[in-house]
Amino acid sequence: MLIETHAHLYFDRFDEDRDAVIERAFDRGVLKIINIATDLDSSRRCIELAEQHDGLFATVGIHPNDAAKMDTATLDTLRELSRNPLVVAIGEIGMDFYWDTCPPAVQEQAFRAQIQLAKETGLPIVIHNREAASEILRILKSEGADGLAGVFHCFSEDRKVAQEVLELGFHISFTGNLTFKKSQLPGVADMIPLDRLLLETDCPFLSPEPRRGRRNEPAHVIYIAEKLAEIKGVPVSDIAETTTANAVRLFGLGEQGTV
Amino acid sequence: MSQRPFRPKQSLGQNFLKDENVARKIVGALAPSPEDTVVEIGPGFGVLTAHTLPLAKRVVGVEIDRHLSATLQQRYGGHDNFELITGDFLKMDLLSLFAPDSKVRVLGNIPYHITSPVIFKVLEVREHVQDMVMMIQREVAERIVASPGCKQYGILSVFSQLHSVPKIAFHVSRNVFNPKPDVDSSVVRWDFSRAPELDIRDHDLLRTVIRASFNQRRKMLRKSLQQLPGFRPKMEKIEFDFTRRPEDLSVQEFVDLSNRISE
Repeated sequence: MLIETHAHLYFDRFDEDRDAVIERAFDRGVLKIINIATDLDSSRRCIELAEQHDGLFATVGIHPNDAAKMDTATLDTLRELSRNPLVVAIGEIGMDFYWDTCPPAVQEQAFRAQIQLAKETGLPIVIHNREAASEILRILKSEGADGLAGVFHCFSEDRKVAQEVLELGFHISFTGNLTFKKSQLPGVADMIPLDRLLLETDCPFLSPEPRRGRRNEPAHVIYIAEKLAEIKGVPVSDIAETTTANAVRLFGLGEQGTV
Repeated sequence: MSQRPFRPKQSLGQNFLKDENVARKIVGALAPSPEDTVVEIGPGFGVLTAHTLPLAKRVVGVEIDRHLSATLQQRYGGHDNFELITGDFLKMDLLSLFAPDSKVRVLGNIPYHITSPVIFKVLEVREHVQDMVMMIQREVAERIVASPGCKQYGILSVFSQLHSVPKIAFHVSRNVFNPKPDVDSSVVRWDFSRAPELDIRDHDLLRTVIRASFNQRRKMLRKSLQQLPGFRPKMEKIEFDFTRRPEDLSVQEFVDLSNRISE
């Protein structure tokens, strides 16, 4: 059984067949799916989807590329939305220096505000990092990483950064980029202890081999698990069992349904 | 008091009903009578309150938004049978709102991100509630009333149907709200007075069985349940087809199964 920890099923690319995509994932061994928000609208959509389907969970948060939209009212809304027990993390938040959409200072302010929200609500964070690893690590350290848990999603940094992330106590997950033929990432993945790994697709983006070039979906998370098993030299069932336990622990997935 | 226009608060997820006919229909689904106490969750501007006050003995409104609360007090404070509490329904000790000797009727039109926590909160005190009428997103309404074997049948259906008879009263278009939400709505009535007569020996155990079963809905019950501490030896002694899947079990069957495990 696998847990897909990073999907964007609210994208309109799933409008035609969203229910079928979800069913297909469950039919192929996915146990739970976490939809990850990027702004206020998608935060609401993630919650609506989680309310509509057993096995779906939500995050709320403002992506660094949308950091300009962050203000006190937005933060209040995120806090209010996070009261829904199906909200299991604040994310995706972080820094992005690849897309030139938002000045670094604005991104940093939004990131810090949401780290505070995570501490206040006791929720873990889902970190988006694009060419901003040293900034993110600096901010996490200055905010005090103790009392803060989370995952560096779509990890694409080197072993040195991975080491720092592990020392801060964070988890790491790879997407389809791990399976690409010229990827250097297998050389990073082999140093990550099993108890710090999570599975994700980041769908509809980053389809893994052999699905590259087509729309990605949660059912494809199995290809990431298989690649990790190959890199680590362990059976796929070990990867499945450990990453599922990690996700349940990090996101508190065993505790929903307040009855 | 100033008359400046009220802007819906984004942070509280407020979408206000603006159609009086729909408001009347919702109150009609509850149909309070002169001896009833109605607890209204999130009265907002009082669009439902206005139609409830003339019918019920007493209306207790619970409103989290202070500005709205002030407006409500101004509008309806003059009614002897209106009582207003400013605060968070989810954090309230509900029994303190209820009279010990009679069952209340619950009415609510609340932001959708908070509906299932509110439903579960009311289910906890169901012995003191006659029925509940609430407007919720349509997909969730369909899950609540779904029958075994249906795709929508899940944990919300089982818990609702365990303690009440839930029915969709009618559907409401998204166009009657301001601002317009991105989902359609349905008005659901949970009738606790007609709760099925079930002999539940151990409520905690039943909850555990239901939650564990639906935790892995594609798996056979054997797989999901044998992981629970102490279950396996008990399961071996029971004659029950554990290759079945949770979405095919009726509420009665969940109760029977849990009772036999408790023996």
